[in-house]
Amino acid sequence: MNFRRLPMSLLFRLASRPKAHRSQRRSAVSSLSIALLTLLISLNAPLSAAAHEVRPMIATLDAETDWSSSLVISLNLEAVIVGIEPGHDTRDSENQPQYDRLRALSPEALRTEWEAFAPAFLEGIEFAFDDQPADLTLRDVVIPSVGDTTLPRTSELVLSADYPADVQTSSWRLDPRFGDSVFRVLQPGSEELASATYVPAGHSAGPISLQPAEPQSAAEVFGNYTWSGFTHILPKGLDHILFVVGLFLLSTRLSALLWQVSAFTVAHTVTLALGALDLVSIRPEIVEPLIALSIVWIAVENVFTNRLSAWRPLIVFAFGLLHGLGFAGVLGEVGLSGTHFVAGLVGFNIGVELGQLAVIALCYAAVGWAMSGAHYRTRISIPASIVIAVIAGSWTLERTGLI
Amino acid sequence: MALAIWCGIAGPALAHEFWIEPLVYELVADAPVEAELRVGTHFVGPNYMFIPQGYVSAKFVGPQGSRDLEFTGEDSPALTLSPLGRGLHAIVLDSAAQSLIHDDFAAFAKFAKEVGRSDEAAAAERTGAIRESYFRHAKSLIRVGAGSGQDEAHGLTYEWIGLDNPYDAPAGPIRFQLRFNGAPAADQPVQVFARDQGSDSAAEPVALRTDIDGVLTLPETTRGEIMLNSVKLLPAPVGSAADWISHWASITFAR
Repeated sequence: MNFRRLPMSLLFRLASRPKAHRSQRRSAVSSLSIALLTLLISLNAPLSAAAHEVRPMIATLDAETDWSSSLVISLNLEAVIVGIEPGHDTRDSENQPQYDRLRALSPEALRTEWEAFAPAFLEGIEFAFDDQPADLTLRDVVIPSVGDTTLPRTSELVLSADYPADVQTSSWRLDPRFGDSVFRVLQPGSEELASATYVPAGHSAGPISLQPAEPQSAAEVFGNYTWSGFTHILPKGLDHILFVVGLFLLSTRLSALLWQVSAFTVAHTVTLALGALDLVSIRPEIVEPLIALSIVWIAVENVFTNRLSAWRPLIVFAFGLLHGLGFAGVLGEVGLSGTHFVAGLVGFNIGVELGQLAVIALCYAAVGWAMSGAHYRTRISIPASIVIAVIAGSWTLERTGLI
Repeated sequence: MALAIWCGIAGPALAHEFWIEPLVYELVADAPVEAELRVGTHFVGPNYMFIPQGYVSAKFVGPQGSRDLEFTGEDSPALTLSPLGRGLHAIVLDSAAQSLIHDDFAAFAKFAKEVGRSDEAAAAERTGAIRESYFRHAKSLIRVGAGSGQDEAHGLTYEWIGLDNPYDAPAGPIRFQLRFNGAPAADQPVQVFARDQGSDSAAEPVALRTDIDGVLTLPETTRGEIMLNSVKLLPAPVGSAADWISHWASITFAR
């Protein structure tokens, strides 16, 4: 085994993996918090072995650097050393005391035990670039402190391999005696996973492409967000559908209707952008009941008036601002940020506008034939508005926690 | 499926609950649901990656339908799920069989007593290994956005079903029903774990039992992040590879 020197940049990169940090922090907190409990148990009972459920090894390839790649394997080092493998069980109890002994060792002492075992382990890894076995070099072994021995300890092996400049794929296989594993490839320059493969014992993963996915162009972002905006109205946005139907029911002239719907769109574009830029944020417990209430307002107004009031466009605009805030949560889901923010935002809102126009087209198809008739208001507009008011009214109560 | 092996023998840690631990139980509308899968005791244990091969069925259920959970390779949180509408959501996991061998009869007998099978376990006393085949049936109830909803049966062999929605039940006790093969599991021992929401601390179990209708009534005072767990231990059919079969039903929620 040759221990070449590892550049500081790679060391830093490995050390700063945010995911690893987050989970380590969490487990550190839980270790601390159950320390007292452990003490209590150990006072009452002889120190007994904790049954640890061994996780599959997780191998993560980071092929970012152009001269070398790193392969980080997180594993239960103690179980690997004593040969506790998937498929075997506690009847192999001759291994149990040995496992417990290793679990209680300091990182330094466990590292010494590991070094005797390491060559055999490394021989059990078949890792290749473009079907050519890669020469793996062990760079580091990261072993956490003993902590709470009722919990398993997860250590990390940091390996590196020369990385041919024009490599296309990599593959992974683990000797069956080490059980099942997961092989993951990080996106270049990112902590995000490009791929992950579950590898049952004795199986292999790959060849898996290492070529980065083409970054999305502004046009693709625009197209994707337009579709996302459309589907947030049809079929996902029942709130918005009812609001638009409410507007439709009062307007017998198309121009007035389109004008209102567009005012609504402009308004929610404004608040959506402010929300996306983190400039405005209002708690959903306040926004959501108000959105429901705005639908009630429109529906009730439909019942009591038969023409557009002077303030209606203003009201519609104000409600648009409100509904835009309601999309704030959506942004987390669709991830509106980064390079093509404007393309995404505009696309999303055009999609929303198209969705609203589709709702109007469907309404027109359903009741357009009756709109010029004498009984449109009494037989269609008012009853439908009452239904909308009742539905939205129940949402209002539900969202304020009253029912 | 060799996802899990136990490399320990009995002691206080024999009973290992399996549970779904959402990072947040009540989310704003459209926010992603994130959850860890844990195995441990006293509501504390390491997290595990979601590997579909370990499950007969793994679903996320919301007001607008359900979908199967997919392998992502993410280790923490194990699950990140886009909500399916607004209101009550459930993560429902039904594991494949896993096996465990006990080589300490006294510890097994203690476990059997805890889960209500002391007589038969004692009668079956023997020397040598005791082979147990176990199944895990875990649920978690989460609320996304304002909205109600009602938990329902998802066909797990041993299953907790929320008769009340913990997120919009009025003040007072709330009820959960335990069912085995679809029928109420009467007079079953249950362990209740509760701690403050957002806490990682250990929780001492509180022992309760289901009533004649398989219903567990949780008092008003049981609040925070809560896990109910019950184990149904059965003698394995003659001629099978195991001596005992166990079904582990857990449900997590917050109130």
